[in-house]
Order: sequence, then C-alpha cells, then structure tokens
Amino acid sequence: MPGGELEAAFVLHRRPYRETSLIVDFLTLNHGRLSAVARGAGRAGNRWQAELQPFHPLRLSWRGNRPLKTLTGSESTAPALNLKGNRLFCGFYLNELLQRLLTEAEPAPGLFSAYLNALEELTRADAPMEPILRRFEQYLATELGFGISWGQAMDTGNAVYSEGRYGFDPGRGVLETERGVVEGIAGWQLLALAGDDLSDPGVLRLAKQLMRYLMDHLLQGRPLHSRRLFSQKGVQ
Amino acid sequence: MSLSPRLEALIDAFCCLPGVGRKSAQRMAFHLLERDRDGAAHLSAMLGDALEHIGRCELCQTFSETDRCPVCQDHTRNPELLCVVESPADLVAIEQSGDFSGYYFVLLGHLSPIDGIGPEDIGVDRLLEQIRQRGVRELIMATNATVEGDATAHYIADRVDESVVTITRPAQGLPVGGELGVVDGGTLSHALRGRRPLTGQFE
Ligand SMILES: [Zn+2]
Repeated sequence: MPGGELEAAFVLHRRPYRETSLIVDFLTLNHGRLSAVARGAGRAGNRWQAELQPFHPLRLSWRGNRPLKTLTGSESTAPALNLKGNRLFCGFYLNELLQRLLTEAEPAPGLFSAYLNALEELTRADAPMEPILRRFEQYLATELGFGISWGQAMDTGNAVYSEGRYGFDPGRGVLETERGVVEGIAGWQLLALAGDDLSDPGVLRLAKQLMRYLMDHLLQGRPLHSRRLFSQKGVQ
Repeated sequence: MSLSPRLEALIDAFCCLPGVGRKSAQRMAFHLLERDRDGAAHLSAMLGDALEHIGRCELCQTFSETDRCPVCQDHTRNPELLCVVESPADLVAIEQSGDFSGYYFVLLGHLSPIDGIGPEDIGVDRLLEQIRQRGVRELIMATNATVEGDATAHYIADRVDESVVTITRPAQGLPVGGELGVVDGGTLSHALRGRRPLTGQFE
C-alpha cells in the first residue's frame, strides 16, 4: 500500500494462481475487500503458506494500482483465532458472506471491527453462536445500505407497537398493512430486535428467519454454501 | 503475430494445466512441434490411454486402473483402520512412510464453501458407507493442517458414531498450511504414530 503503515487484515479466501502463487482475498481495515497476488505462496515451505490462513490477524503491505494488487509484505500480529468445530463453520459463513457481498476497495472500517469482534466471541466456548451471527448479519446489511429499522413500519411510517402484528419484506423492512414474505410477526418481538435483545428463544428464531430472507435478498440468488455444513440439529 | 487456428487451440489446451499461463503454454506447444514430435506423439498416446484406463477405485476413490486399487485388494491389511486423506499424493506419502497398515479413503479435495465444494463433492456419504462396510474401529483424519482440512475433519467426525469408531488426527508437528504430500517421510511417520483422539477437540 502507498506510504509506510502496514494495514490490518484477515484472509477471506485463497486460490492457486500460476505455478507457485496464490490470489488471496482479504478484509482490510481501511480498504475493504482487497485481492492480491502472493508470489511464491503456493510453494511448499513458503512462509506465506502458513501465515496467509483465514482467522489469522495480519498486517499487510502491497503495491499496484489495478484491482488485483501484489502483496509485498505481511506480518502476523497475533496467533490465529482458535475456532473449532461448528464455530469454525460459523467463521466460514462470515467469510463467505463478506466474499460474496462486499464490493472491492470500498472502505468499511466499522465492518472490520464487527468482524474481529464476531471472531473473538466465537472463540469463547460460553458465548452462544447464533446471536453472534445474527448481529454480524445485521451489521453487514446496515453497512451495505440495507439496514432494517425494526421499530418502524415502512408502509405507514408508524412506530411498531408491542401488541401489533406485522409483515416483513427483505427489500423494504417492517410492514403494517401491506403483505410481506413473512406475516403475523408480533410487535414485541420486533421491538426486542430493535433493542438488540436476542435473549428470548422465539426472538432468536425470528431473527434467524428474517435475516435469512435479508441475506438471500442481498445475495440476489447466489448460493451460500457454508450454510450446508451445519449439522441437522445445528446452529446457524 | 497471429498463429494458425490449430496452434491456437493447442496452446489453449495446455492452459488447462495448473500453473500454466499462456506464455508457458506457447513454449510447450512450440517445443513439441519444433523439436520433439516423437515426444508429442507419445504424450498424446499416453493421455488418451490414461483417460481410457484410469478411473477411480470404487472403495477408496483413489486413481485406479481396476475397479479396486491395489491397496484395497490387499487383504492382509487391517480393515479396522481407515485413514482419510485429501489427495492421492497424500496416500502415496503415507504408504512410503511404511507406518500404516490399514486402508484409505481419498476425498480428492476438502470442504471449501466459498468455492462451492460441499460434502457431496468429496464423497462423504461414500466414506460413511465404507466405515460401516469395513467395520472400521479407528478413523484417522489425515486431512491437511489448514483451516479447510480441520473443517473437513470436523464435518466427517460429526457424522460418525463415536461409540463404535474412535476418531484420531495425526499429531502436531505437521507444518500449518502444509500438505501431507510434501512433508518428509520422517515427520509424517512421527505424526502418524503420535496420533491422538479428536474427541474433545471439537464441541
Ligand atoms: Zn482403493
């Protein structure tokens, strides 16, 4: 990158490039999603083989003016976040969302810290996984300009009241009189979402259902493969 | 310079090889046509022959010229041990280390949701079937020491009845990000001998 300071980043995805290189997609602190060629990283024993792994806090430098940069340096700032089992699948899910939804080179510093927070929470065995994912999805939607105002009906402009019944449309939000893809949602549940209170199991189930519609809306029909990894009894 | 259509087509064909860009492809095509036409004829015959006769072993999925590969046909091996690897190169590396007497299952890849590679693409159902049919007691998850390798191991472990089958992973010492196929034999047999249960590592 131009001028001195190394840039905080995480690997989202890597794929082979030419004989011995990789193309790596990163989430960076100030430059959003960034793709760079890591020369020689595909060669056995190359330092980048081990370093450029997902969930590993990194600092990077690169050069180039075209969309595909050339990585010039990297350093590890902390050990890789230790995600195991289903928590690792959650991490894959976050990466896949970012990879598919984030436009390249669009700065999103808030998203970077939301991502880091989510990963750190996922490493804590006592933190339930689902609220972490739901909060990240909401943050991402807001960052992309599709945030939902849970406390207000978009068709009437009225505030949501606790005893009311509402509809939901992923492109518009909460609906009071018009029909949505989901119907009959209790007002108090929407108010819980508005207050970021996911402690009630019913509210958490609702959040999962609505966020799924919202993510699918943003993905515009592109599949999200990491969903399939979660076991039947599953989380996510 | 414009090349003849057939020459263009040949160069394009070489580009399907991993790590071969247009420049190298052109060099290969020119070399074969200019200097080594016999070599080219041989290569062409070998490719045709390989495509016709090399398929996958019906049991372990590795490359094989027969319905069952030589390893799977070897009845002196221990059917209670099954080692899961990502690639035929990993199988060869473990065979060369000489420390393993069971059978294999070759996934031919790992789970990678961003690339659209899911459980059905690496034959997880076939693997679970093998575990039942062979009466496997220990499943050694020798997938690569990468997050994708870990995720693949966990996904499979999650679907195996652990009251019947013990699941182990080769010990530490394999380089992170490394592939088994390129690890030296000593390190590999050390890692295999020191394998430990996977249970408890995953929730
Ligand atoms: Zn076989």
